[in-house]
Amino acid sequence: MPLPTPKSRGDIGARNTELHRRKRIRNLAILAALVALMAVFYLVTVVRIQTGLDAAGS
Amino acid sequence: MAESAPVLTATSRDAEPGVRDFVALLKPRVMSLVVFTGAAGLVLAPAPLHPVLAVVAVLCIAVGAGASGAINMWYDADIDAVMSRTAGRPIPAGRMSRDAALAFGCILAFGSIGLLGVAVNWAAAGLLALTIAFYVGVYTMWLKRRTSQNIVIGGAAGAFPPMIGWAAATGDVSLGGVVLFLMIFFWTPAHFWALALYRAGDYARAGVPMLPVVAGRAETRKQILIYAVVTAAAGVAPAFVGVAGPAYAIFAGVLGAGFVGLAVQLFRSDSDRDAKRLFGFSILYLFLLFAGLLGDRALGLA
Repeated sequence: MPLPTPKSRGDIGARNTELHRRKRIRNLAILAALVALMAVFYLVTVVRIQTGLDAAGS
Repeated sequence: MAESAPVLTATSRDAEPGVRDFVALLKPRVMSLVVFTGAAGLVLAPAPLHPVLAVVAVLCIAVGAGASGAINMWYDADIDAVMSRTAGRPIPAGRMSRDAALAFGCILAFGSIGLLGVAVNWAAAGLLALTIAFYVGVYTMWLKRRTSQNIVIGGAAGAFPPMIGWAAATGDVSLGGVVLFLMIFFWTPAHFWALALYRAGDYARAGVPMLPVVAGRAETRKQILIYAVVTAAAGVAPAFVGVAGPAYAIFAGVLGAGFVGLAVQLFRSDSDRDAKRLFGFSILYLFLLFAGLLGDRALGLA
């Protein structure tokens, strides 16, 4: 949903709360993506060491 | 065009997108079909791939497809705002700036290509790069707004995923991968033109020269029928190049007959109801076709 347009001081507070909530969720999602990426690189490294580079298709 | 669309007024300062908006940029429904066909290409290839690398390959294909979608939404924001089907997307709805969508798409595109190359092989990564470049450069930026054949040529981008899956497993592109590519390539025009038939007003308003807008409904229905016949023939082809066995050929033949039957019905009736029915069946058709290939392989019938 688009952020509400503030019309009063209370609205500005509500808008900022919603803004911070969205930013917090987005930051957590970025953190999760980075952790997942690290796990992927770790697993790929382990697999490629185990199977050898040729077996992995390179 | 879209002079008063929110997309032209939303800036990075006042648009604060949520996680859902970024997910929407990836076109999840398109991505699900890409994942399925890409994974099918990987499984059907004659060379086995380590399960972890196979999962990474499918993940990269999915993210690459999502990146194409995000960059497409960045470029097409003006026409998305005019079409009722796409007006609710994050950019035209004013929830996200175009810059954010472009940056997101580029990061995912380069990330998925790089990861696929490093983790699996550079042949598959090269094909993924070609797919993204083709979808963004050839289809979105060049053909979509210029020719009624946009979806015929541009449809190649959607046909690449099984070939990328195949290349991920084998390290090259052979006849089997090409046949899987052709199955989707020939299926695409009939699928999209069926949609365009009952969304012609949308496309006309947005100035997109889809076939029904440019050549009329009669010509579109004729072209759909021709492509449906070719699609049905291509659907059986895996059985003739060793990718699947006779049981699959019969299965694909029956499905193809159903596809052609609905195209004939649409050709005769010219009703939006039949266009919607063909559009719906076309999605099921492609899904069942690849499921049939996987089932054939799982049962060892090839």
